[in-house]
Amino acid sequence: MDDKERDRNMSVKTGIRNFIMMGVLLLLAGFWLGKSKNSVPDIRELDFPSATVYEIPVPLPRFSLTDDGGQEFNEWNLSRKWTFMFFGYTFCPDVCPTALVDLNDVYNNLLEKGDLIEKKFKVPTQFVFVSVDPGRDTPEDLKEYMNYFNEEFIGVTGASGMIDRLARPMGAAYRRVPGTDDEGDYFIDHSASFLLIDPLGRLRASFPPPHDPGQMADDFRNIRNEFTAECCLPYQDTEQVIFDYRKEKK
Amino acid sequence: MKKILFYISVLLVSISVSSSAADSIMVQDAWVRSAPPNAKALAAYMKIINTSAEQRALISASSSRFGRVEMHKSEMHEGIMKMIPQKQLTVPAGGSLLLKPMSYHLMLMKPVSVPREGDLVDFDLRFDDGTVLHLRVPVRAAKSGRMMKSHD
Ligand SMILES: [Cu+2]
Repeated sequence: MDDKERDRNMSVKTGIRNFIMMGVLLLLAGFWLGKSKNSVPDIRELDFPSATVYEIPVPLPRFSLTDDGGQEFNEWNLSRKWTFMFFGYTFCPDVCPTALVDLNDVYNNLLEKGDLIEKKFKVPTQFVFVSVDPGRDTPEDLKEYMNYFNEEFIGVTGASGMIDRLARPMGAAYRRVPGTDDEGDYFIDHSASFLLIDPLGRLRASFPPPHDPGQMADDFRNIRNEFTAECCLPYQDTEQVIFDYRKEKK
Repeated sequence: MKKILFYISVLLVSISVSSSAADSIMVQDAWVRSAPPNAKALAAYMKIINTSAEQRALISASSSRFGRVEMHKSEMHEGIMKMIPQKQLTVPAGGSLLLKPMSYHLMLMKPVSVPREGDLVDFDLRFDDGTVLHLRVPVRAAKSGRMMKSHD
């Protein structure tokens, strides 16, 4: 009786020991798998879950557009600022308002934490909506439209050739498609990503939809922490924009 | 005898009413997205529920507040958002179709005047079985993370 019980106790004990050992092995395997996964190096995506960050920022060509106050808006308006840019049009009732509400959430997230201006180099953040529909969106239209979402947002438009010039290197494609009535109405298919332009006027990141404004704001803070210095340090006293001269052949 | 015939006919009428699709198609949580006063187009969203045993389709929609109402779907193609006009919106038997931002929507064009937040917008939705739903849909802002936060 006693022996039998001891035997049983022993086998329970070895059972438990085996169980624990297997657990440890599984844990180790887990660590190893996790590690090998992390060592696949898309660090950028791990750091910035809502953004695609360009290791080599994309310089933009010179351009000249008009803002919603009737003033010229060109590459210098991108200098020494971080710029969120979105391409759309006011005839768009679904995608563009959704995007502008999301951008407003990003703005408010930064505002509430006193983060609209980068602290070390005093680099402000601006939000620019580029209308790809200059035929229907006048600067005055844009002003009223933008004010509805956020008075600080800047509406910009201009000659379609200029809009193309700015949009193309950023991969912000758009295309006019005829509407369904016979009155010449049209819709415009367009990119729904937010583009982030660095203080040297270079495309640094894009935020593809669907957008999570809280995550975007956090990622923006991290991107800004990582890249503001390289845009500002050597040029602290001079305004500077880097152009893509390859695209400047006249 | 006449009385009995009368009752039978009443019964038949009531049966024919209840067997029509009048209440087998319903709309829930409809809203018009509020828009800037100079908006040239707006969107309406809702859940269309079909409790019947047959598939139904929304074939047209109209509103006295808009010159033109279309059925659209916003869809992503290779990074580009497209708005694709839909000939009809199909609601499966015993199922529902959700119209929501960045997806299916009623596209409201040629506003007589742009409705403001809190206004009610009338709609007539026509279905393929002849059902017409008359709706009065409130205008409100899209929910955002921030707005939900300010409510608590
Ligand atoms: Cu639409």
